[in-house]
Amino acid sequence: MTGYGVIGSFGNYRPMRTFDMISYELPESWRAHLYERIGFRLQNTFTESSLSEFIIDLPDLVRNTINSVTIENSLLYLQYYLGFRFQNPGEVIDYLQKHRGLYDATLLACILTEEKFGSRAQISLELYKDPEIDDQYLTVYVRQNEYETDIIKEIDAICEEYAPAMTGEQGYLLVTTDFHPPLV
Amino acid sequence: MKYKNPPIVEAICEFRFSKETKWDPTIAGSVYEKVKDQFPSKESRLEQQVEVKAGDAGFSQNLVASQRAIMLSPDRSSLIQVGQHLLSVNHLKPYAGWENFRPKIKMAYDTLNSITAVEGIERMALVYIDRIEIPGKKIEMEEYFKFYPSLGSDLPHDHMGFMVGVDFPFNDQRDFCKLQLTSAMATKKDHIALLMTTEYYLAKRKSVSPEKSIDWMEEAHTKIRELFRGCITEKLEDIFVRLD
Repeated sequence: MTGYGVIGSFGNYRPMRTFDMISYELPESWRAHLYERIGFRLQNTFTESSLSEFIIDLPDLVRNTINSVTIENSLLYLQYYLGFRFQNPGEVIDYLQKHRGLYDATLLACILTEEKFGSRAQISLELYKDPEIDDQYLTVYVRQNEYETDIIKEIDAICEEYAPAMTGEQGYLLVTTDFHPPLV
Repeated sequence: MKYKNPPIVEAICEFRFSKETKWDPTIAGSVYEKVKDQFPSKESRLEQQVEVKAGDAGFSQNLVASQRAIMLSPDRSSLIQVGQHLLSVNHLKPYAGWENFRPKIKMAYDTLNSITAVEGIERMALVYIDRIEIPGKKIEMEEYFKFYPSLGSDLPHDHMGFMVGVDFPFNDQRDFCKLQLTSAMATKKDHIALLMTTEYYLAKRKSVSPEKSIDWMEEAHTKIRELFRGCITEKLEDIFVRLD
């Protein structure tokens, strides 16, 4: 039996890719931006080669095929390595399965939130369901034991950064806080 | 076999057509016009593709932006994707069986073929992704699987994430089937979750003629089903609850 780690490749040859090839002027550059942030965030956890090929199952730049494995692996790594909380992971997975265009924006929002609040807040990815109208969307909750006075300002800055990645996509994603204490 | 709680979370059929197949940006729109009764929602994604070309000076890489059209069923559980020389049909859970998936593949393929004649197939693949959740905080893998990470006696036997895979050749290595088992995020309390991915693909480009592509898919499905049965134990089947 052979152990290996490339998923979802459809058996195709994967040419070497480098981030500096990506034009940041193109809308899809959010994905490249996302790769860089993930690489930066996990650089002390994994070797460079592990990051690029094995650890995060990033959708392939060549084919851009996002499937169930891509989504599940990414969420699992957010939980394992960046300490994200998932209250109802099944709901988050189902939502992303059906709104795959939000995948990049979701990961980017999670990474940006973790960069800013990772050491001083609990971050939870949940599906918010409006109790009054038929509406639901993904929500990244930032929860602190003692809330900082400028938390909304910092969250707004995150939202401004990932919002362009949602342009034209179905579904919705919000980074916010409910001012509740961290989940136990 | 049919299960009351089937583990399939996604089935994917993908065709990549040869460059001889004429392509233009209007094809996706023409496909949509013909499938919109079943796939009324239309979305698109701008994508970047890395093209690798071999020349006298060696390999060169170019970044090319292209548009991919995504057509979805009303409940978003079934979709057709049309990209540059690409056709993909995906079905999310609840999966209604091969007898329902196959006609969708054929319909999508025939529709595309009626708009632009498929001249050759570079690659095609049939992929099944199963999500398996087993009750318990800790499980003995061999009780549920006949394919799992084997850890020697000198290694710790408690582990978190894992990933194992194997490539099986078929038809004199014309086709490969990549079988993978990885850990996943449990959606139920005190459960262990795993993803099993079975990906049967054409390894030798253009070795199957376009007219035979749906027959190839049928064969791919048969092989995938056999491999799936070969991977799991009766105890795991009890969790899925057999109906036949």
